[in-house]
Amino acid sequence: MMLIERLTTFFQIIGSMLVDPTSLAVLFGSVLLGILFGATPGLTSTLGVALLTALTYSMDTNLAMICLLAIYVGGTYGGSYASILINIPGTAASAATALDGYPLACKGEAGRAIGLTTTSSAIGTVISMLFLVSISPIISSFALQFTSFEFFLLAFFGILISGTLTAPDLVIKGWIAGFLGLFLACIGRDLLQFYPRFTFGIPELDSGIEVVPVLIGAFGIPQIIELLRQQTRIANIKKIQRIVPEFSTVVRNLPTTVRSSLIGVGIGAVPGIGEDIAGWVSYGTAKNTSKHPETFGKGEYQGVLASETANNACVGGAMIPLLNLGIPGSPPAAMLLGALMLHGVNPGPMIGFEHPNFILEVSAILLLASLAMWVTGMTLAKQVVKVLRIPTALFMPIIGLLCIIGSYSLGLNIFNLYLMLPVGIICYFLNKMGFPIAPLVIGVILGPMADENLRRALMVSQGSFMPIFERPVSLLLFLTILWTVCSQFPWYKRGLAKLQNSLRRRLDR
Amino acid sequence: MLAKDTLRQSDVLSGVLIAMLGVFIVSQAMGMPMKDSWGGVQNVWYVSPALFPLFVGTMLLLLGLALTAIGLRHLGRGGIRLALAGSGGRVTTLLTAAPTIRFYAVVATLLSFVFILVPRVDFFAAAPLYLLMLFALFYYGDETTLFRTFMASLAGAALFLVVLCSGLRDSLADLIAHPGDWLALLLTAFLAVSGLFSTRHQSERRQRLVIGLIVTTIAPLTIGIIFKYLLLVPMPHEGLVVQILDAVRYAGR
Repeated sequence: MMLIERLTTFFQIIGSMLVDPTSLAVLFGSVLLGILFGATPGLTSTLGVALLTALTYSMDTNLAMICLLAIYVGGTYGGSYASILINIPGTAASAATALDGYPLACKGEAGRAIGLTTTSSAIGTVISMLFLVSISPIISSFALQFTSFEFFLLAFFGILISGTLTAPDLVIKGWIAGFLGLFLACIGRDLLQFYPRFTFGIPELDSGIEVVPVLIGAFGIPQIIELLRQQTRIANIKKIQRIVPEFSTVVRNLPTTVRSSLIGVGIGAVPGIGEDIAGWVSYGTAKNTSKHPETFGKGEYQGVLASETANNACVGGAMIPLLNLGIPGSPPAAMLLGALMLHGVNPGPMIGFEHPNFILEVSAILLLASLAMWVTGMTLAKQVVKVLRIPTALFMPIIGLLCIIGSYSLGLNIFNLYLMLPVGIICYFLNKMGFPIAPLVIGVILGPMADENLRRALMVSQGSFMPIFERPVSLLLFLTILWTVCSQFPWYKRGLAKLQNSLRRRLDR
Repeated sequence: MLAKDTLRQSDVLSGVLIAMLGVFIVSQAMGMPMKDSWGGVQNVWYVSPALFPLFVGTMLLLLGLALTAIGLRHLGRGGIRLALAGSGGRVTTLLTAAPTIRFYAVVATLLSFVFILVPRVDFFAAAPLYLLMLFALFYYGDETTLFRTFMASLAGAALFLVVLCSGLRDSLADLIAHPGDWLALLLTAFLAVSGLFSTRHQSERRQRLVIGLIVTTIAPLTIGIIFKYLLLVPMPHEGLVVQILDAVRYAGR
């Protein structure tokens, strides 16, 4: 009965939003704004939610939530546009999408890629919404099992897996890029003792290196330099036949979509991690479980689908600890927490008593936002792909201008620009020498989490590493890391091939 | 990405550089407090700020050495001898090739814009100059004008460096407000006029120049106005043009 009551309330909430023109206008407008924010290098969904928090202060709580959640959903999805079309991820969460999205655009299949990612992103958001409404307390209690060792190992695993998957030449280069990112993350005053590390007396480095200028510098500047230097087209454009994917294509890719959604929800539910790592873990899983992993990185639809579905499913996943525990699951969710408190809603264990239908309302908004995102995304896709027709020499300088003002706009710090350009030039040379750049950015993002949690974990265990082997999740992560490293060595591959052959011979008998 | 043999040669060099970076990180980390007290608090190794840099530095050292070893193993002794013997000629060819000049041109323009112009000149005056310079180099310019335009861009950067980063700026500011902004606008106008003059007999290039001039006017205004007046992001430096835009904005109020 309780389930029927909840379902009835859920559909009533959806119905009331659908018949209210103001709600619909705010929904579609915010999704469109979110897509523009996500697609523009330097503007993130976190910034969008932050800006709209101030603007929606005087609005009704329900309308404000529609606005903020819609821009969050749109912003997370919008990063895929820049990733696919110009190989410059609009957000860190879409960095994995560029690996296969841009090669698809180079083949002239940008429209189809955008159509498929839009549909899978919407499905991912809907699946995460289902988890939010049905089993959020259970997932929250599991997520609370994550302590410092788990966070450190998860961060280290994220860096390692992105290095393993993205290295175009030797895997060791991917790992080197990851550790270079970790080194950049060490710059500044350390979080526990405030000791200045690698600042060389420069006060601007005391607060460390910002992620967004590094992201823009690492991806944007090399792309601008290379396209202008070689005078090549941004990507090819074929006559766009169909953007909306065929139903059979959606059904064929459903296992990948569902798996990626589960990964996104799971990672989003762990406080503090966010969409960035969800995309990579999902991409890695898709590649490892694929029958043709060699096609990944060359324009494989499953790669694009896996990354985008997971990072959108993370939106609903991030709502789970936010609403049930009052702990944000991602940076945009942290901004949402502030917005909720401004409107007198205190997320946490008591939310079910103080605002009985609030989780259902948030779920309904997520469902409608994902539908609005699908409609808006499909409408924009044909027009956005025409961007590829603009001559490179005309388009890339404007992108450079956006990168520069985008880097500056975060923090209003001119030092971010001084940082962005040298990082970009170094990454250009690294790229030329076969070093992947994505692990470097992941290292900068996850470095502080890895550093702080390693030391916290050792403080609790008094310097002992034994809890890694005593805690099941830690042990699983440790074994996964060990397997990821060992699987790159020839002796491991030879041993595995021998084992597979002997098993096959025994089965044949 | 480079060809495989060239890649392995660069791996040897990059491996050595990365190993050296690892050594540097470890040496800096050894100077951080490990067991001594810091800020009145007794330290232990697992709380030390040196722990993570030591881990990262050691890994970079090991991975750098491994990369060097892979490169050397692939090249062999013969390959290393050949690489060292041919490197001089290769470097000379590389420096004068058109793609290399284009690389220097993009990098020089970006560096001038970010380090010299953006902190000192109104964004709405600096951005058109930056755009028009890149269009002159890569859009309506061609291979015959590339080197000349590149030299002109370097000269312009040197001029700004002298005017804006020396005491000359303050002396000029006594005569005219916002001297850097006026200089940027004048140089933009000069580029536009010289472009119109040089393309007077070439209709396709003239057409590109006109499109470039339109984009040079519209793009910075659109981007700047959205950031400044809609997203409320103040420009890195606000001068002459922002004063005019503010006057226009507040005129109706």
